Amino acid sequence: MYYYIYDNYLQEKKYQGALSKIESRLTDLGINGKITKLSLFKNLQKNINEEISRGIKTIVVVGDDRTLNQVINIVPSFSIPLAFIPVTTDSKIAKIAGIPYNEEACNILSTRIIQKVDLGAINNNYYFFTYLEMPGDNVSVNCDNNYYINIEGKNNIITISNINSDKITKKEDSQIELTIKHIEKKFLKAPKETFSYFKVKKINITSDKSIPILIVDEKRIIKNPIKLSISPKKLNLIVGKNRLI
Amino acid sequence: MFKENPASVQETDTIIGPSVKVEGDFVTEGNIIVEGTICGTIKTSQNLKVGPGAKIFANVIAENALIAGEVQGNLNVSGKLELTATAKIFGDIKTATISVASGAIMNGKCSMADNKAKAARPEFSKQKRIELKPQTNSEQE
Repeated sequence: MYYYIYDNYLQEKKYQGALSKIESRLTDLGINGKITKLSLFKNLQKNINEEISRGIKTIVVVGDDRTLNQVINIVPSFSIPLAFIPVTTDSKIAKIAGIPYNEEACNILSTRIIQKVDLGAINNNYYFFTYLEMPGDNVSVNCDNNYYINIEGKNNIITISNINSDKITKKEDSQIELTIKHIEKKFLKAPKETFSYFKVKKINITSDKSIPILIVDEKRIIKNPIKLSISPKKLNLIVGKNRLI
Repeated sequence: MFKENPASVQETDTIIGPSVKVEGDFVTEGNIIVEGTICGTIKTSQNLKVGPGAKIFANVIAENALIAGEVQGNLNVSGKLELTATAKIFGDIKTATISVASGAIMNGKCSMADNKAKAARPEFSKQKRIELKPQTNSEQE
């Protein structure tokens, strides 16, 4: 039994063609199910809980990376497999999981290859699949309770990635990658970028003020200290044959 | 040891850039490239590369090391240690193999291999002296 969660923006006219193709393909494959739409005024967590008690076996997210990230954070348990049907061509998660776009993703859903993947956790209550970015000025980073990283100067960007589509290095290694990008700007000279790169299990970030973080186009302001780690619970994701993980 | 190709960069587990200062016990199983500053200890079971602008105020333990920057602390390298012309070492060195470029600065003791490689000292006092007989005139002729 499948439970489909559509992003709110799919109600727009330009997506109607793609949606009808997806729905007809799902009917052909015999894997259609109940559809619900993400909305500001709907308590989706309650709905999902009800559906789980009724015995749904797969939650299917239709939308983009942001939609999937939202659903990851409202699913009460990761034991139920999660599938993804991307409707935009710039999905990084689709690239990592080897999922094609629109109706072709339905074939991946019916093949049902389930892979356990790591999820990054922020303060043990908010999860992310790919990576997050935050400004790196005036912050202190404690890694694995062993050493501190003091970032000097301005124009620093911290990127913390669980899985990065540009450089796949792992499946389930319980490590997060910390990248610090520094842009050195000099008058009448081209800006010079330098990088620092660490692989750690736990990160504790402290600052003198709240830190805005960017997770898949979604901006959140989180009070410090921010504790980042890999969630002990793994996500059961339905992936394609051409997956990178 | 450190070839400048994309593959070796991908294999590197840690890069400490010039804008970053690390304080504490830095222990890893992978390769390390240091371009910034470290205070504390560094321990890796693989290779360490210290760039020309890097400053290390720490005791270092590594498999192989290529040093082009400044190290203030003891170096313990089980494999090969390479010091370039810009290297500055203020501490004791213990390594199996060393290569020092002209211009490198070393201040400290340097010990290589272990004492087993040392030859046994002969007991000179117990040896008999070889006495040379004075030559006679007939022998001289």
